Amino acid sequence: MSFAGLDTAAVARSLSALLEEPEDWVDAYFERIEEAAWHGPEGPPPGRVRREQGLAVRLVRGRRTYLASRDEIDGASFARALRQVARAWSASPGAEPRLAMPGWDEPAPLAELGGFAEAVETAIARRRVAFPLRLAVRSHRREIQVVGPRLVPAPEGERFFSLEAEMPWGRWGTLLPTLDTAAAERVAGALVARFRARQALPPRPGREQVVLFPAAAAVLLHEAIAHALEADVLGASGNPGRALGVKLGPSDLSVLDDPGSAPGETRRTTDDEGLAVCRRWLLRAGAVEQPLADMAWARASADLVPGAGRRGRRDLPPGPRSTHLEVLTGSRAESELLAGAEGGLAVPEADWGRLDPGTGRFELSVPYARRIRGGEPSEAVGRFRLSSTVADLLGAIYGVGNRSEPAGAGWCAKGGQRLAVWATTPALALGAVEIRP
Amino acid sequence: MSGPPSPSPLLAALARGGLRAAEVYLKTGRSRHVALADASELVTATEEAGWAVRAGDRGGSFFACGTGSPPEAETEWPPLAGASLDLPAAESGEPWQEPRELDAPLLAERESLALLAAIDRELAAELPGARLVAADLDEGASESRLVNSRGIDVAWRLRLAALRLEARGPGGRTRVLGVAETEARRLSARGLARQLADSLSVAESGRPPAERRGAMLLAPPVGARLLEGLLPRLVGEPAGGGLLPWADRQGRLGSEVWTVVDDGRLPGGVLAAAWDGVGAPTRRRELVAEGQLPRAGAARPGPSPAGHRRASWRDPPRPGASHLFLGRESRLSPACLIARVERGFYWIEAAGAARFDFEGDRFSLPVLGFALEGGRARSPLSGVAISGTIAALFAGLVAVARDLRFFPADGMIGSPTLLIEGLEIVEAT
Repeated sequence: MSFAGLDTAAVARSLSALLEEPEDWVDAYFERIEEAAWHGPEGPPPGRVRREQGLAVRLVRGRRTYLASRDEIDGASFARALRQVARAWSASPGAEPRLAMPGWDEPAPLAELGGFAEAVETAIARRRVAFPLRLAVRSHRREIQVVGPRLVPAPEGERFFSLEAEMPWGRWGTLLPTLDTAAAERVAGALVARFRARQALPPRPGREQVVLFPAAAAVLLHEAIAHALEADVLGASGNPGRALGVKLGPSDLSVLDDPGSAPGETRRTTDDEGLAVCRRWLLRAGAVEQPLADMAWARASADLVPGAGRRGRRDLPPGPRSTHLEVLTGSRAESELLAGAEGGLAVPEADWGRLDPGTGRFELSVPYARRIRGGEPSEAVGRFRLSSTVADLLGAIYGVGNRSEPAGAGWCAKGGQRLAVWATTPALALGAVEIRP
Repeated sequence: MSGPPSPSPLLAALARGGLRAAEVYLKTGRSRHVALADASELVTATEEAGWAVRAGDRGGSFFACGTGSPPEAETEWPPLAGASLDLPAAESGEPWQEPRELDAPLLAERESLALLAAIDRELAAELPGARLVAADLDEGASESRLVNSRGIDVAWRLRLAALRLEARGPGGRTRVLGVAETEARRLSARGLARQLADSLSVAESGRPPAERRGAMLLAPPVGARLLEGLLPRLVGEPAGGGLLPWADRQGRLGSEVWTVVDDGRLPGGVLAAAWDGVGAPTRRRELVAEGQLPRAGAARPGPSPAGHRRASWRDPPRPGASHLFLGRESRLSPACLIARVERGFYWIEAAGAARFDFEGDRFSLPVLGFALEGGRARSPLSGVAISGTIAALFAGLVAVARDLRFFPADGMIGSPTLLIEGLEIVEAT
């Protein structure tokens, strides 16, 4: 493990010297990141590798947070950051802790990334179609170590992959826990479906019944439930604790955030503040049970439980975010959901969702869908948006599928922090919702 | 100044490893970020130090970047793949005088917090009931050094203060304002508060107009958003043919008032430097000159009509704007242009991003503003977007004022007040 050379006890001792008031919170965050990217032979240069490490020291005192970050991990950098956060150091800060980091021993997995791009192209060719396509495949590896003055949790690590495809009719991206044959087939299937629907006409504006398949449901739930139940979003309009018990969805909709069951090597036991994660019921039987909270929000409200603090970069403070949304399966087969939405739209995926926290308005951008005829998805329809308030959209859910599927909800860039978010969800059927071009 | 260490030994090591084309970029920087949100305050101090290497030979190339020491052994670099690397040769630029403010200290924490508090106070005074919901002030300075195997060995410094404000009006509407200066000391609390108050006031009291056509005045924030929407065709990949699809055989794009300039050494510009992201000398380049593309019939004046930018040491350089603006000279004040409009519209703010559909030859931009009658601003307008064909946008520009202002986007994008005809008003979606 990369952090074996950190003298965490010495770091903890140094941090404890910053504590002046009973409510002070102080921690150190050490981060090591590797991102390798394969951009295809025509992208100059096709192979790219980023390897960085750094640290941040944070002090929370009252309503103010002080944060100092460095692009090095060594004793001198830590001591400088500590002094900067302390601002007025009344006593000697003591000896610099020993912070030794190993070299980067493994080669970046560029060959694996290039091989996956080839596998996707082969899988597309097997479907007897060809179209202009630029693929970028990336591997993401991150290791973190949080140190507090009293507790030093075990280091955490995560590794996953992402893919971006650029086509004349738009871009498409996905997160992947592994790069295997099944993943290449799924990606190829999604790209070919977009190709085949590229000239389809959008549906007429109006209200339609809709069945969202898992990949589309994941985007909806991330935006409409996870973001809506982040303590900072709730706090913008009052006390986040007031959301508890509010009925947001139907009784057969239960949604959890469970970083401990995230796919592949993205599973976590502690969050980016070093606090234990939990199986957090965001909605139980349609009612809000426990919003997403980090340490700062949990200290501000007795109703909130920490453990959902995430940070995309060491120079930014943590915030309450979801990691892995899980929707409990319902009782209906997908065929039943489709049959119940005859004449409506089957939506395999969504490009993005957008929630306006001020108004509660929500939009889901859909690249294409299929008209449901005879209980089956049939002809394609082109790009449109689902538009509604969060409450109306969730209230329109009348059916939850009985088969859930892991689906990377994608990258979330709220507040300038780019974070991978995951979801495992069944299909959802929604009653008449507003469709816009 | 304590800048990056010398990159020359690393360049020599790459050459010894057989990489005939190589470029080493080193960057150091420090910044202070002060933010207000949710009744809390955040003070961040960041010290940055990163490197980036592009290298290759006939067998391909790679890009690597990181913190700490770059790899020394040849085996630690990524494998070569794809095309060879084409690096620029050393070129002498025009004489360059570094701006004096590069050496000015960053705003202290207390001064930064006082500036944000003053904006909040002024906003409440301008528009009772309005308040700042969030404010982020970033101020930083950086030093860059770049060497390559074709003789480039250059260094430059930058200094930037970026402010993002989110305010809520008495009626609950929110508006966001983003500005950038070389120094935070140049930001005026009163001016920013007035701008936010005007925007909130119109957003809350405005209604869609009954008339859907007429002459339009576009204030600088609106003109800049339109120009930002055109960026992919102005400085991006040449795959889309730039702006050629809208030009006639002689390369004429539209109105002769259309002059678009990118100037990497714009006096007073927040990104002004002697060198761009690949070490080429910066200069003033006209991407559109009096409605005319640079060379009739040519898709592009070169691989990058503007210069190259590096968003950070983490990214390879790419074609990008530095200070891109509508550069037609004018002596007219905005008031002169307003007086010219007997009946029309004055759009003072963009209410969102511009949407450009280059394939379908359409654009739209949600806006806020006023109806104009007899050269005077009348009823406030909101909930609408200006829209039209891209060809109409090029053809309809009638005049520009002298009040050029820049806004942070992908580079700095600038526009004066524009008088334009032939566009439509549609419902904002």
